[in-house]
Amino acid sequence: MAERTADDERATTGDRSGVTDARETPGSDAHGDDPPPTVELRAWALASFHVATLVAVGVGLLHAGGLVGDLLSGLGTLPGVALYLLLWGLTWRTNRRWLLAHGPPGRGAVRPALTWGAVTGVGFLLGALVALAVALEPADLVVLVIFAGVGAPVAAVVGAAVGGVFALVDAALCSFADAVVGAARESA
Amino acid sequence: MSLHTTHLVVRLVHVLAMAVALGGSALLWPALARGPPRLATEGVRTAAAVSYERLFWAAAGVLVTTGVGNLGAFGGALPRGDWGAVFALKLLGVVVGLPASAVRTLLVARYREAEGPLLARPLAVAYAATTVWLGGLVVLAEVLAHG
Repeated sequence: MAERTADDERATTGDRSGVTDARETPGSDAHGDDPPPTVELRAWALASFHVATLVAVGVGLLHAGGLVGDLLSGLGTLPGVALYLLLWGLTWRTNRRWLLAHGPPGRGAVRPALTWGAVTGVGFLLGALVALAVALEPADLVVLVIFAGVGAPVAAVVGAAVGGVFALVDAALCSFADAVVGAARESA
Repeated sequence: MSLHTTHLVVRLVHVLAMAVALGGSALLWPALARGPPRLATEGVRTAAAVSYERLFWAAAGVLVTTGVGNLGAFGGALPRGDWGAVFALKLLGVVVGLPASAVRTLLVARYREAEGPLLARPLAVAYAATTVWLGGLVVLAEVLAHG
């Protein structure tokens, strides 16, 4: 079994001692590209869970409204995959930062999740618009810039709301996992 | 690549991703339920579970993406009625199974960190449930594909 690092221990126990404010600030990266292995596993799983659930719920709502076939047929295979990877990549990155700063999700991690959710929302919008800009004529770029200016605050609010909801769900899932561990200890 | 070929490739990738997810859980279920085999250590089971979790979530992303691609291939001709009801049931199964899978991964993280063999039995149950869940989704997918 791999030797545990101090950060791994902190992430496991939720210990906030020694966690600097810099880690909680979007844009900072105190850990660089080498986070503890179990934080990496949690970030990988939770980011994938968030994005897959978001897409599945979205498709379900479209299906309920009878819109799923028409809307999805207009989205090509490669653009669809690219959008999914963009959202997953941003979510993975923000989830990893969130977990590094706060350990396993708990109720105290909901407020920072709002911030990271907003970062993800704005990042997704801007990433999608940059990809769209490649296919546009230079004259149309002004419209795209205006759209980005108007859309960014909306994307931030939507992203924060989604991030907050998933933080609450993650906290509930972690509590359930803790309960399973507790029951296993008692029965041992 | 023609549109028809693209749709075939998307379906192939969809099936392969399900094979990875379902096959992995079906292998880990008995491996954790029976205890470590003679030539394997607890660390091997831990490493196998961690590797599976990484693969599972990658496969989940591929399944959702290619599933959306399959729907797009239908275009405006997407069937409703019974087909629509089965599809809604499959989506419900996905949305219920994903958070349950997240709990399983969180348990695997604890398994790796400190709890060790203590969590082998709960994880065996989790992998059994995953196998049944994914098997159910395969049955629903077959109904959707062939009526």
